Amino acid sequence: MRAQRLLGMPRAHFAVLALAVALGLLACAIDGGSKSSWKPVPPQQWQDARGPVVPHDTFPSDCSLCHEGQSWNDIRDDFVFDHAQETGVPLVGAHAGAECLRCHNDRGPVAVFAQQGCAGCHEDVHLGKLGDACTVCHVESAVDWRPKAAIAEHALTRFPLAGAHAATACWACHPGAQVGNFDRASTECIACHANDLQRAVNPDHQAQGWVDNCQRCHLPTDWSQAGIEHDFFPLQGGHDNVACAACHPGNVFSGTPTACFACHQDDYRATTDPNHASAGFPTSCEQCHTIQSWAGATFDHSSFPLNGAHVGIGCNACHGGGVYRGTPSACYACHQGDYRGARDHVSGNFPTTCQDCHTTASWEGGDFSHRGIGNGCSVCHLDDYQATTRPDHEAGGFPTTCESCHQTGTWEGASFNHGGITSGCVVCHLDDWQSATQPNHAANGISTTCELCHKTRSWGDGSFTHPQFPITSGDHAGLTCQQCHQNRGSFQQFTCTNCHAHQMRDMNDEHDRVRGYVYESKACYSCHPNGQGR
Amino acid sequence: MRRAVLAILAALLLAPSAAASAPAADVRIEVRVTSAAGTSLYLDRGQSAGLAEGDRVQFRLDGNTAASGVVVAVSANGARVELDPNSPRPPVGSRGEVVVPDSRPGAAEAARAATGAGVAAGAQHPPWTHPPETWSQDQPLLAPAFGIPPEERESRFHGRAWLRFDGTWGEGDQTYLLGAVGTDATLENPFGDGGALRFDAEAFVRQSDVQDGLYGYDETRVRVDRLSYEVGGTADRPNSFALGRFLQNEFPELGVLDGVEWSRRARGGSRFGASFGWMPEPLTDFHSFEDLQAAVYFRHAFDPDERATLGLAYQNTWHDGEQDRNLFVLQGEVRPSRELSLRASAWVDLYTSDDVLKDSGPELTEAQVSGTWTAESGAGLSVYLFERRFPELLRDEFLQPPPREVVDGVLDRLGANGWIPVSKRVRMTGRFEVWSDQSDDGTNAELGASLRDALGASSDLSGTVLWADGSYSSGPGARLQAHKTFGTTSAGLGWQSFWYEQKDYGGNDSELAQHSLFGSLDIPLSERWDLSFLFDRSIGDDLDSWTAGFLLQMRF
Repeated sequence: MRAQRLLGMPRAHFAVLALAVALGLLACAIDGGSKSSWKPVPPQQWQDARGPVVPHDTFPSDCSLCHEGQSWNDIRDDFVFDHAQETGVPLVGAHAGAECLRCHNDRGPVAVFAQQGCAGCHEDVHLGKLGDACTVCHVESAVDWRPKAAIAEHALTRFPLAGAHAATACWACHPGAQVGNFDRASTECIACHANDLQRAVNPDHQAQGWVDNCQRCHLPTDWSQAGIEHDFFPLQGGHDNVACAACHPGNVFSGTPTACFACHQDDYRATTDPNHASAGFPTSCEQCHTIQSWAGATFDHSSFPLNGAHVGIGCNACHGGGVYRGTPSACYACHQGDYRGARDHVSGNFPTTCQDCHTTASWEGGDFSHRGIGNGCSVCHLDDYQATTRPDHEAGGFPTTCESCHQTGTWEGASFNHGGITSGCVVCHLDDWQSATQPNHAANGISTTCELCHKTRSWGDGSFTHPQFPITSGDHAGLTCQQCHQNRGSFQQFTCTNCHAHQMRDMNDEHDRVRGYVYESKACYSCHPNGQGR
Repeated sequence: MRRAVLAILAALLLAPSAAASAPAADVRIEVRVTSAAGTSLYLDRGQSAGLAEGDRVQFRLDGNTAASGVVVAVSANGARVELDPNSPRPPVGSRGEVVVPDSRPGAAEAARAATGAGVAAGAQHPPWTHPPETWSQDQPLLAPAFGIPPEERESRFHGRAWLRFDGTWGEGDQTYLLGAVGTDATLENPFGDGGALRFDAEAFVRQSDVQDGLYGYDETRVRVDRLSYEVGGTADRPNSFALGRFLQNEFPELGVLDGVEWSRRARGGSRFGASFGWMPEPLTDFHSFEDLQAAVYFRHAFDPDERATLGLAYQNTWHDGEQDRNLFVLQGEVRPSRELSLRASAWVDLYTSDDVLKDSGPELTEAQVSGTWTAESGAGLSVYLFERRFPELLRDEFLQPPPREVVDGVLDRLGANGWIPVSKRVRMTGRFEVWSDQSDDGTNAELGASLRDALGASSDLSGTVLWADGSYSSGPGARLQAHKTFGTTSAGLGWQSFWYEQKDYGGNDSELAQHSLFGSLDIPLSERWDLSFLFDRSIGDDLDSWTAGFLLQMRF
């Protein structure tokens, strides 16, 4: 409410001027209208119309100290009564100007009521509520009884007048102040500031439940603005409209932690995508979350892109103990165990720069670049060497100079230089021998002296000559082995009659003149070793 | 013959010198203590008995005790004596003697009268022939004086009128203004029965702007503090009546009343009485006729001087016809000596099932116990204990607190004030208080010293350090004040600083420094007119305010 103004000045100022005029008129009226012969009595003087000051019995017996002449009513003109000297009771302030009979009157001996202190003469407009030590607030020496030490005295109550309260009229808090009623002013802020609370809509104090303990946010300097600056924790984003109690449970404001986790523990624990708790996510939420929303966290792991096998692993796998800062990005830091467990890595004094061979897809399948490596393969490939059965390197007494046969592309597909090797093929090629089916070497009892038939270029290039019997030309060209060697177990056995059986009569007829002729393959071969007739 | 003549001549010539060289004779003047006040004793002998300023007086006390003093002022038939330091005080009636040269006028006669007619000095006055009731002003004052009965006095109109203004201007156009004109007038004995018609009222304009005019007051009202006719209650009229609006006489705790009160003083000083009427709300304008009350009381005086009294009052009130308050007020005072006084009072409310917030039964709403001891040296100690609760009232008596505070709010204060003159000019003061309420507690302390006449005669310079510990703010403070009287004008000037820290504040900077320069000036303009000013300039953290006021008062 703006103060109304009259004639350009606040109405109260105008009113004071008007009241001053009123007082002047009152004074004139009193002066002019008084029909009494009474005039103001000089300080510490006496008026005969009211009778003597009583009691007199403690007065000095020298009457001439006060009286003169023939009448007791005549007081010496030079009478001066030093109340302090004569009675030991100094009269200060307004008391110094009071006439004697204000105290020494017909109420009885002044000593009786003077012993009651101020209350002996003065009405206690405070209704006994403020005790009897009047001079705590009032200054006795002043002509003005208005309290002048009140502000200072207020400092020693439970409500020192701090800030704007020091510039507030008493009656703003003590509505009865003008009649001396300072009784029981509540120190609860709401007792005086209920209107302020109603008006506080930004933020809405009522909705927030901020109806007491104003001092937690407001300083007593200016009610209209919260003295508290929440800049130590800006209330933005999702925090904009959160009830204070969400972060300050029990309206305990001091010592409230500013860490996100302090309030978002439940969010943290309830989050399943990803499961923060089981993944051992750090509780420094701000690393991934913004104050806009708990959902939609974005974590920038670009310093160590999580791809390949790193996509689904728990954070703790790399950030053990929830320590995220300073986590090394070197593979070996996490894969030390893998390294040690990996074949040959330690013994081969492999470098710990895992990324040289491995990708993030898997620890397995390390792609070792053999570039520049020309020997010493067995250091890594001894297992390969020992495990290789085709041919069985170990049994074959293969040299461990792997590089002699193998390329770095793969262990498989070794290319053996047969230069200078003219015998002992079966040592390496036993499998070939055993698995050969065209013809079945083993079944046919084909010699394991491979070099008899095979060249070193390829196993498939075996060149078998059938010196015992021409099979590459003549009538027998194109026959399969089995047509003659029906017993696969022994190529020593053969049959001629298998083909020539339906001609036995003919053969018999033809060979009736041949001595020792029998219709038997061996007999055939003995006479026809090259398959030609005789 | 010739030798005889020469001898006579020689004798005549030598006689004056011989007389002059002879030691002066002393005489003993009997004196009696007629009254005492402070450190002064008054004697029944003065210049007419040869006493003079500077004479030493030896008093005769019982036993071996001796008392002595020096005559510091003397009149024709009386003298004032200041006792020697550490001298015991002779009671009134004690006798003593003053040794004075018999050459002083009147000394020899007084001494002879004392020795020759000692009986006369202690003679009792014959019985009075005039009973007190027939005393008139032309009779000599040889007996206790009696005042003119109030009903025989001339009707007289007196009082005072005033104009006052108090203003406070603070930050953000925060303004509190109060202008008032008032009068406190008494018309004595208007109807010839010794009564007094009293009128005490004030018309005021009150204005406040808070928070840049957001809200405040702007009102003009007239408040009548008193409009009553009161009669009796004087020394010789044991009954007293009051009618109208007045503060209840015997038990002010019962409040201002629009009604009637009767009380009677018994012979021993005990009093009892009753009152009936409406209780104006003790707020801005004494709004009335909503709260009806009936009260009875009794105060027992254990001795005629009322050095020990014990009183009990009962008050029942109805607010707009509905039962409101059952209140018992107990009050006791004991003054076993000039040095010691004890005082206690208690307000006990009796609640019933009709009360909403309070449980049925009695509850101690307020209690005050205090004791003050003052030594002759000027040192003293005052100890006090307050306990205070909010009563459950229908009536408007104070700013209503939150209901929970009515239920469980309680304030206890235990404290002590002490003061001691460490020298003739230096006085030390101290105060200590602990308080607790339903939600907090604190300790306040103050230590000060004042130096009299530090700034010349009739001046006083004091300094105080204090620790304030409130519900919301706490911190140290200091105050320096000077006061000086120039003739009839007195002026005061002071500076005080506080460094508060707000409790429980959630922000960063909870400290508030505030300082103020304050002063007052009281000027008796004439026998009728007084003018006084006061001001306070406060500055500090977010604090910049002025308070100024004046009071112009006229006595009539």
